[in-house]
Amino acid sequence: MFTPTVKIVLGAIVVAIFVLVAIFAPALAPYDPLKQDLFSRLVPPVWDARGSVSHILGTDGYGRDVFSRLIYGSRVSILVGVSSMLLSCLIGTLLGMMAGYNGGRTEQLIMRFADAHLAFPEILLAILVVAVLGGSLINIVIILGVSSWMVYARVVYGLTLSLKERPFIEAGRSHGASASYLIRRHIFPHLLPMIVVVSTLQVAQMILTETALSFLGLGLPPPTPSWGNVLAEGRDRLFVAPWVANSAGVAIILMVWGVNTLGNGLRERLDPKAAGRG
Amino acid sequence: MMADAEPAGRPLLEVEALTKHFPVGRHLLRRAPRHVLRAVDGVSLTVARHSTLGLVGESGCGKSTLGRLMIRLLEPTSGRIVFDGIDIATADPAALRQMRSRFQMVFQDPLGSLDPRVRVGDSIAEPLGILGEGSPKRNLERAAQILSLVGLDPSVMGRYPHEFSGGQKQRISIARALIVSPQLIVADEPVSALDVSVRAQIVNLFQDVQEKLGLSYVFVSHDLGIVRHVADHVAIMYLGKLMEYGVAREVLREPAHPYTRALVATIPPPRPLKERPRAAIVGDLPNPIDIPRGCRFASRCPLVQPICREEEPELRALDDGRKAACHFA
Repeated sequence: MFTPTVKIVLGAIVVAIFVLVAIFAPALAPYDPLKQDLFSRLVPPVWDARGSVSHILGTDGYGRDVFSRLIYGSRVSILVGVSSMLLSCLIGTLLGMMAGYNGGRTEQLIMRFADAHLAFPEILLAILVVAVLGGSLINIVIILGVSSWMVYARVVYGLTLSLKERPFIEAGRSHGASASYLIRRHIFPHLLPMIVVVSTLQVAQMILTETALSFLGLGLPPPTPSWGNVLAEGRDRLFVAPWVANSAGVAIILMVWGVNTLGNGLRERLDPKAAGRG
Repeated sequence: MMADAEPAGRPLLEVEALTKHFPVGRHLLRRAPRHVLRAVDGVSLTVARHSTLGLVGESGCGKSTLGRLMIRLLEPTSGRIVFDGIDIATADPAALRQMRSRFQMVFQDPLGSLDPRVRVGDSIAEPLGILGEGSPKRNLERAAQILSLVGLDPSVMGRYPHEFSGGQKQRISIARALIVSPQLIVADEPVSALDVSVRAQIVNLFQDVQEKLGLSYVFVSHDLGIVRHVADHVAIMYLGKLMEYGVAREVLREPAHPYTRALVATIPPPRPLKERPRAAIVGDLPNPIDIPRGCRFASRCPLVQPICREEEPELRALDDGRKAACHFA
């Protein structure tokens, strides 16, 4: 029986709230996140003496409602985080299983390429691709996905290597099972718990990187409400209107903390041996 | 059991001059391996229909490797493996996969050879699925029948391997091998991982199944006591070669080779207090990557003569039909 721990429950609740907010963004957001209102520029949040209830988290330099922008921004973050995680998980798991099961030259080729790629800074690659192709949602997902497959490949490779020596794999071969059958039926199911753990932690990493890219102006083009964009816009008026950057920062911290807590909880639950390691 | 009566027609399995060399280490620049470990070094033997061949030797002598080669779980370096008239040593992978159901393996570690995440019913039925036979439902029914054949209640099909004892798990492994109706089962030390108290039960199960289904076994073991109990023929291996090979009863009653004699002397006697010849085997196995010239047993042989260190004895037929590789047999 799977009994969840405190960390898993706590992390799952936070993540669930963000996911629900993202899904029901149009119903929850009080304003259109793109609508500018130059008469109510830089309105402070509701707890400030000059603030008003109409803009809970205040407005930015163009009079756009920060709260609405953050709500819509959660859509971008979750979409980018999850889809780039899926892409890198797919690439890394397939290559890792191939390297681990086949060994020999396949292994050398894949794992040495992974080492080389791991030594290459992700942000640099992102700058390169965005400079050439421009920053769209799909481009960002592809960059993030392609640049972190090595994490999966390494974990999956190591596990596959030890799994393929287990006697039940030899037993399967003695029954005439093909390599693809053995990988599907007897190796992949054993990898799944570890893949789930890595994937969860990876989502948080992806969200952070997307934010960083947007902050550097390499993410989604400016009017789009992403947390990184809100943060970048807030930076310009950090001393006049600190609430813009601050609320984006708090949103990012909460989301990443929730996902990481869930991931660490799952890891401790599914793989007690690895819990001590960073 | 059918000890001496050689059944009519060709034997079920014929192995001829079979070798398996493992490369050990590698030169920094050259492709060739630094050393070659000759795990199996030119072995020829046959397995008759409806009979049991005991494969005996110390650990590291290549008996498990030979067992795996016989059903081509390992690729032989050279030699022929003729199963029921078909050479499986050179068969292409597709043809081999078609034949796999005719020879099966039972492994030493009954827990390890079952996937811990698969229910035992599905595990037992799985070989049929791999063959592409029958519907999943029919295969599970077949698994239930086989399960009662090996002495387990079919109601346990929905459980996972860790819920069973070692002996029960080995029964499950046997059921899994039997479900495809093989003609030959290679059993690699099938009882040595089990408690002494359940060994006899599993050995008896092997024998009952043979009576009922008429299949052949290759029984790999280091335990001469068990081999004496189950085997019709016995092959004694030392460092990748056969030392003695013949009808089990004769070989074990009156060993011709000094190595066999030493092994037989280690079988616990029925009456422990009665005086018996001292075990005549001393020292360790020579390094298998650096086998000395001459007879490979010479370094430990109590009867060693100068010729033994010069000339390697051939495996030759003796008067009573058995074979031994000793200058003085």
